[in-house]
Amino acid sequence: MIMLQGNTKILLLSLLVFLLIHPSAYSQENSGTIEGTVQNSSGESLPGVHISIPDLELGTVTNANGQFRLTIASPGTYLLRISMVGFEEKTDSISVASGQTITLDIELSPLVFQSDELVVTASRRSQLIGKVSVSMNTISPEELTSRNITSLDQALEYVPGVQVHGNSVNIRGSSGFSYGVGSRVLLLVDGVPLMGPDDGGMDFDGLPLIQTRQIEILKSPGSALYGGGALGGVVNIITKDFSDEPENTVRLYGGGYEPVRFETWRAGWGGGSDFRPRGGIIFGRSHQVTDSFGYWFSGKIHNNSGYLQNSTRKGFETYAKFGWDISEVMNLSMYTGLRRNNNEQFLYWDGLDDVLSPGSINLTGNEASGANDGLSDRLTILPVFQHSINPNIQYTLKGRLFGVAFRPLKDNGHISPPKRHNKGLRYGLEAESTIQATDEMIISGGLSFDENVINSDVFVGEDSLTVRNQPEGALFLQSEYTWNDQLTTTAGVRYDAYQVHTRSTATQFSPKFSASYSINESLTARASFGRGFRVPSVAERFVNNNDFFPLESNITLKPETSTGYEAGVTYISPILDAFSLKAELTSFWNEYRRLVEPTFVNELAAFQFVNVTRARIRGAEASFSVSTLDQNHQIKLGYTYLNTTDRELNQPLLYRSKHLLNGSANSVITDWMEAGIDFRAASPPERVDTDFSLFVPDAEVFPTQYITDIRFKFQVPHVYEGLDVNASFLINNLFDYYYVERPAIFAPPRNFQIVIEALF
Amino acid sequence: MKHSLFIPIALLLIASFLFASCEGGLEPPIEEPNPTGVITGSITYSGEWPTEDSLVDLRFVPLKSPPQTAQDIFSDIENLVFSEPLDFFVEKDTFIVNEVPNGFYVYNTVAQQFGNNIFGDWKPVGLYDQNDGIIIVKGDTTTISIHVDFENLPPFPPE
Repeated sequence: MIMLQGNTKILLLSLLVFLLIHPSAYSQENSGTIEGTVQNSSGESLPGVHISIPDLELGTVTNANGQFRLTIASPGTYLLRISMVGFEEKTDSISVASGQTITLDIELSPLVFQSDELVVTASRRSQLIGKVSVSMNTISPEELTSRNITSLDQALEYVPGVQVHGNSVNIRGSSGFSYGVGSRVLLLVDGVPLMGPDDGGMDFDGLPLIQTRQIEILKSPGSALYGGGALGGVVNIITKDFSDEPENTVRLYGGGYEPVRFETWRAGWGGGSDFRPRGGIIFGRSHQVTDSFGYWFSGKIHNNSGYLQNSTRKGFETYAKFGWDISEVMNLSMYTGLRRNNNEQFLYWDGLDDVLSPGSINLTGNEASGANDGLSDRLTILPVFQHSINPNIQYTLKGRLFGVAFRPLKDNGHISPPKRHNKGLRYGLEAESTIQATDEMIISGGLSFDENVINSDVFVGEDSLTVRNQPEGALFLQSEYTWNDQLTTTAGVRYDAYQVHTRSTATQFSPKFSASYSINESLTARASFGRGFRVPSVAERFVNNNDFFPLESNITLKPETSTGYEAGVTYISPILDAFSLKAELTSFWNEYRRLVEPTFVNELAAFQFVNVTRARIRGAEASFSVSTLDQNHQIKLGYTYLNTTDRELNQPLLYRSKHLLNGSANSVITDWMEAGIDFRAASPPERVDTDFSLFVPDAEVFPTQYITDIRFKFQVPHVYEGLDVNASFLINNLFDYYYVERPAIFAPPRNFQIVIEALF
Repeated sequence: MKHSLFIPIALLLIASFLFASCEGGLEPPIEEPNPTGVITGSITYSGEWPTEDSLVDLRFVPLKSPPQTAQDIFSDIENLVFSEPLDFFVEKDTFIVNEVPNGFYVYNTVAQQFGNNIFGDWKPVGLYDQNDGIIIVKGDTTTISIHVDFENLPPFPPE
């Protein structure tokens, strides 16, 4: 080890500080500079683009914001080369004079058969999807619009390897079924977690889908980046940038569910013989008002009479976001959301001979009911401050405030007494910095603190407290290194500390490592390893209630963990100079410990969330898509094979399908007409909870799922100056196939929608 | 060219239709219109038989609730089942009642018609008093035995 003398240390330190403050101090006075930004065809900044001057053997790489800077010691005329895998290379002759700084705005076009789609979820910064080293899918705003997606669960149903069980999301078998409590998939809005403070569940309704630029689905453990909850994956809603010109959208939709075709079911509930309407209005406006200020807002008012008895849903939601560029290097944005829903919730049927009516459980003399009615309010405030200290260093501060209130309604529609209300609040702050340490290395890291506070008479547990709080803190660090044009590696680690009980704290160490290697222009291989964990929610640990099921608290619940390994290849190539083929093959292996599952405990004569088992989920996923080069016609297929094992019982895990199949085709038939079809299938779960069937008749019935949706879209541009109108007709469950997505709840029969959208 | 681009949509539509057609999906359970079981049994007699003029008819009758009057036997006449006429003046006999509707039969009696009023002139002369009654489940056959003591008739209406 070299020991430095005191004076030498001071001298070196002073020199370092001087160089940092005055980077120009060491540049030659007669040098020239070329700087600028590289973007894709959508105007999004491209990181990792190689900028070089071959004659001088000089080069650099664009930073996370797509910016670059080249200092040329010998001014003159040179050939500038801009290149990136998947994009058409650009070369240009450029003359730089002594002391001159040339600023360039460069747009790179993707190779005709490749995508220039950018994602941010895989490593908390913008990356080309083809360079990402973990499994990811995206949903575009065009797909959301063409299917008239009005809630997140509808969007996720079309993603290969993803199943939606009512209000639970299951990515590659990570989740069974628990009425949405304790989700193993983390929901983010612009990278900020948005899980229920009380039940740790996802809120499918409270999202601004009309102002969504992209939905990104990370299909492997993501806790090394995002902490608890990302055990099985991450869903990230990326909101839109502001529109340069004022852009207004009004969408009206209406339709309904068809009557069921079996007289036996119609006899159980008269509503089953009727056409059950639903509809709503969605509106929004987006505008970059000045160079420095922009905003968008959106809202939805909806009413759904439901196809089951006691399943009406109505409410409104509003969202707004504004952005203010305080200076060229500082930006402040604020996202807010407010939602009120009045939902009747159908929990379980009365049996296979009466699937449209809620059942009841008479276990303790207190009859539990298979449906409830409640008023649910949610408030979300997410402020974000970004500062680029210099082109290579930036930091972000993200705040979050998420409040929920649930108030049950009595049969007469009045709100139940306050002692039956649930109120929850989650607030926190995260600081993150990204440093382009060298041309090849990007380092990001930060810290976060959050706290959940819940006030409820339902989550009282054995200690009878009605107010509970659960603070949590985390440190995270990640380094991404680009070895050459082919190989990129990422290593990261996150350390989380959670207070799980009044006097005890749990800690988790979550490392990750991944690599992506471009074998040639068409073929990329990737591999990753990561750990995930989830701390049981307050609801899982403290719920004590007999209203719907006999449920007992379990304050000894421990966090569940996962370790995931994944390897895959992606092949992208043109076919016959007319089509683009994209094929992906992925294998994955996840080990789980202390999995939290709802289980019937004989001694308590009640259900309880318990740490039940060690589990293993292995599988493979294959997907391919073929599209014309203009993207006007495409077909996609995805297949997922799952092998799940409860390693203590040596049986399959509950409520996991072995085979999942997705297919879709879309075609722009004329300038004004587009048609599409979506098909999804899932084999019946290999194992279902037989204890549940003791209380709810026929709860073990799970037929194979085959669901087909079709859609037609008609476009009428320029109805008046500046007014475009679209009309869509959608039929979901075209063949009126009857099935269940979760135990003892009949899934929607054939239903249709007519959508009229005006853009001006 | 454009028409050929419909082919993927058409293929997917046909494939999904075939998938959905092969599997029926959920449907109400198919049940027999009137699920029934069978009661068979043997009867032993003791005591002095009634006079012939008061023995108009003698049958085994299972009932879901104890009758308070003779007319109550016929209150649910749509579901009323009974055996063929039993023999008179014998020491023992057997019977069979087919198509007994599913249910819990608590009052299972050998009933004597003692007058000409077919709906009023009935009285129990022997009762099956084991297991609190007979449960009939679809397709099951239940075998019982009853003793009739003409000198110690069961109380009627029941206590």
